Amino acid sequence: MQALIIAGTESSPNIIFDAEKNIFEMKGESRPENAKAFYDPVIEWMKNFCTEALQKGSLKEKVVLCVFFDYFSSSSAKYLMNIFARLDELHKNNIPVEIKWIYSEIDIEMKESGEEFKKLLTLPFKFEVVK
Amino acid sequence: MLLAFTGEFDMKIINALITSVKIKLKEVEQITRIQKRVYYIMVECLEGILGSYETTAKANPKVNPFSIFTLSRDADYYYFISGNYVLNEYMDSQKMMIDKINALNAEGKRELFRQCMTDGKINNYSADLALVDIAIKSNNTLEYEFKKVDSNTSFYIFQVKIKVK
Repeated sequence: MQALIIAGTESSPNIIFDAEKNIFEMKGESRPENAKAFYDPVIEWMKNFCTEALQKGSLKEKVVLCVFFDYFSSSSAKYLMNIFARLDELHKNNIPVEIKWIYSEIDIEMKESGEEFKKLLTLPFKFEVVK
Repeated sequence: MLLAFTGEFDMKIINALITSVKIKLKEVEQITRIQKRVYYIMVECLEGILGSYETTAKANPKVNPFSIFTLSRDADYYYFISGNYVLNEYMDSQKMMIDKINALNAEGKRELFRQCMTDGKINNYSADLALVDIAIKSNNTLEYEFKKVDSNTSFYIFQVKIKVK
């Protein structure tokens, strides 16, 4: 499956979804001008990846999605939820997945946002604080 | 006054305003948590102006695109004020949503946030989600006023404040 790589800008996050290398990262600021236009291909990629994994019934390695946002707008939040919910489906089907929620030690709001997502999902969340 | 802008908003202007406030906040606000909160709410307010205008313009392209945004502070609070033209037909749903949010306690607001996140609607901009997010982060009442302009439009003024400490 071809990797999805989107370079970050001042208002949109850097995204690397690479199934071959087992790298899954979302990092930066997410307040794109058009959240739908930005996230539609990301969701499409994740949908295809998860469909393939569910058909196989397993993955070579555990998927760890590393999420490290400085900020994400409420309009981005729903798209993030959609991406996480697809991974949640894998977890519900006993395919090992995890979200590593990374936040700056000065950014308690970001930690709380991760906790809110955790409450809405069943897959494991690992919180990591950075200085 | 940290920021005051009037005119037509687009993403280029919003990015410039955000950059300007980011720099000013580092100068005037020592508490990083407050810096972050001001930033979060400011971005939501600015996106709110743009989202509201785009929705309004889609329904009636003749609506005046003029909008305002101010961010100021005194010894106790940061104050956010936004203003833009909206169609009168959207007024009631907006009023109802803000009144509903204001009537909730902190946990109620979080529960409403979760409901908005999982309602299955996925739009480019969700005013309801933005409002409840602002209410949670500001920990204050959302204030609003609709000043009727004519039979089709009103000027919608939205205000919120957050404690300095």
